[in-house]
Amino acid sequence: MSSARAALIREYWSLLEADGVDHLIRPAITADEHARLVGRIRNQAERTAAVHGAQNLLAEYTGGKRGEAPSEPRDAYAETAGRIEAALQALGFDLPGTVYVGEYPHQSFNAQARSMHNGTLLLINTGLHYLIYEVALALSTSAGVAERTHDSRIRVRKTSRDARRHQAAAATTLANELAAYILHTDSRRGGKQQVDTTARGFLGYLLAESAATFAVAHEYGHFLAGHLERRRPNEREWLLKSREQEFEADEIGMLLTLKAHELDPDIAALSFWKQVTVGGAFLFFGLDHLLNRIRAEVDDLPAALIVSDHPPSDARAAALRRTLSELEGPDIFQLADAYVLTRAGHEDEVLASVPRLLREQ
Amino acid sequence: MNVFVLSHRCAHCILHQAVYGEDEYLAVFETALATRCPLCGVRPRSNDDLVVLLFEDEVEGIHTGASPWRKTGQVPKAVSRFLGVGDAARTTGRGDFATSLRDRYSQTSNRRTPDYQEFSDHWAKTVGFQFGDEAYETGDFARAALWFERAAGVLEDPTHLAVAQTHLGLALQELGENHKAVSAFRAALDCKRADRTVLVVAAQQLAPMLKELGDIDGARDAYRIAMELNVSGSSETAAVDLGVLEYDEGNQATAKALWDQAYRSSGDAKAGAAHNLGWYWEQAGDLEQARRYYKVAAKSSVEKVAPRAADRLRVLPPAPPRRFFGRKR
Repeated sequence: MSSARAALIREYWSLLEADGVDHLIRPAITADEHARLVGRIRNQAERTAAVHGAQNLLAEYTGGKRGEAPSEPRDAYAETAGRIEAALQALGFDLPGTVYVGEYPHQSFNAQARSMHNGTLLLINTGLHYLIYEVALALSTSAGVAERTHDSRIRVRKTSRDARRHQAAAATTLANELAAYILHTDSRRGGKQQVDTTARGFLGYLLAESAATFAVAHEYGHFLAGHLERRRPNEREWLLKSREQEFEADEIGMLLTLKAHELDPDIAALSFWKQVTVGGAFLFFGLDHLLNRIRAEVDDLPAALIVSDHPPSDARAAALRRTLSELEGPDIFQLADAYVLTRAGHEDEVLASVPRLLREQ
Repeated sequence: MNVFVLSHRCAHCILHQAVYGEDEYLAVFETALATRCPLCGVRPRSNDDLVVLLFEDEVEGIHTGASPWRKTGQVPKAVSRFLGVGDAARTTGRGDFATSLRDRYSQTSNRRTPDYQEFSDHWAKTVGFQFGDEAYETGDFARAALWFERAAGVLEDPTHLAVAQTHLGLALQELGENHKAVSAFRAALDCKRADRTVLVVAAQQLAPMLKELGDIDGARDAYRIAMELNVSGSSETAAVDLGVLEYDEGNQATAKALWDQAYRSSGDAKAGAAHNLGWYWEQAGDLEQARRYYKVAAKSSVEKVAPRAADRLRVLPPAPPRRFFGRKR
């Protein structure tokens, strides 16, 4: 790590401590807690696989390793940032300065940036990363499994009664999680999706990873396009961007995310990796869309709970759709369209959950 | 359901799209017309250049409700713009970095090509020959040659490949591209494990073409191949034709031997051989022998051969009265 980046990271932690929010980013976890967590994940994974009658791929994925409790504060976006910067380099560009991606409870669904002495901080709202994974997991639970028969016909595997119950529970939990995220910036207060390490679950994780990478790459887009240079407020202020710049950052973010996934042999080995990658960006827009609907339609919602400073997500999705259609062709939206519709089917349930959780506060 | 659009202009799959309803299906044509082929950049000129392929079971599934494709039917208005429905999307404004990134991404990351190559190969293998044949029947030999060529590029079964190459040769022949046609027929003959009945057709097409191009030895070899393939009817016809070539080259004895060989067979080749032997003996001055062979040819029902032999019989001087020793009629 360069000394400039190390200095920027120190500045980041100073900022968190000064604002009294470092405990949100640095959750302490003991070895015992870690072991219990791993055990719980394994049990859930086995149960979910049994419900769906599918193979549990967890052992295959982890190679049987249990891992150890992290001794350092978690750096949730280090790997994502590294992959985006590698994609940038592969495309023949240098990073024009020092950047660090971290979490900060700024209440905005979209990432924010701050100019510091040692570089630029790109800050993702606390809890967003977790929420995205939960949403993707819930959506993948709704996915049906279709198979080609030996005579090339399509056969949809029948969903068992247990699996249908599991899907219904996932949808309800998702509604509660989204509502909790809006009200408390912590989706965990609304429940938790069951771990799913079947092929269907891994598709969900991949979708979530794509969404999270897009969110970070979008903010890199602002940085790379020079949007963060034009106005330099002091370190206590967020760097502001124009709505027009958001569209440009979306395009840059999407292309960097696609390139980052192309460079990842595990992801690029999938024949539909581009569809999943684009699906992640549209999942991100879909969540933003839902939050905007809640803000517009739920009465008595405290104004400060959700910050909206970006163009409408459907306009962003439409603009990105045009770019991707030109570069990749329309078939790249196959998974994105399916997930948009599935997620849209949950919106009313979420909208109903928010007032209920508000009343229960 | 999956929709694949193929272009007759380049014989490639130029568009693959998942569509969920009639509106989107109809929109595919518009999209396809504005689409440059991802493989060769050729753009279709009109709907006539397009062919749309669907999987029958997926279409049936939509009718019966068994399709795994979008079940909701109507797109909720709230997310219509996500799906490209409604107002045209804005064009993203780009600064220097975004413009360069887009350019470099297009140059280094356009991975559509392998997908479309795979789609194109699949369809060329499964329907390429059919499209070529249909075009040939309607006299569009350029389109036919294109599809036959694509099919020949991907077919693996030696007989299928030989059929495609032979038809490619025929289409090229119609287009006057004789050298290319020769290559196609030769490529068909290279399919050693193909069905003999297919190979013999290629050889019989190749031989006269080489003869026309002045490659007499090549033509001779092609006829020999056709004969050695030993396909009833065709191999004897090849012998008759090779005999004509040898006769024209001044090798009358060889020609006669070949026609004699074909004469011993039955079927159309026998009639042709009989006619040619009649001619051989007529030229040799043995009118009796000539008459004998012409009569065999004239009695056959083979079109062109029978009337021509009958004509020769009419112009030959009448046969002298037969004389029998010690006896008068």
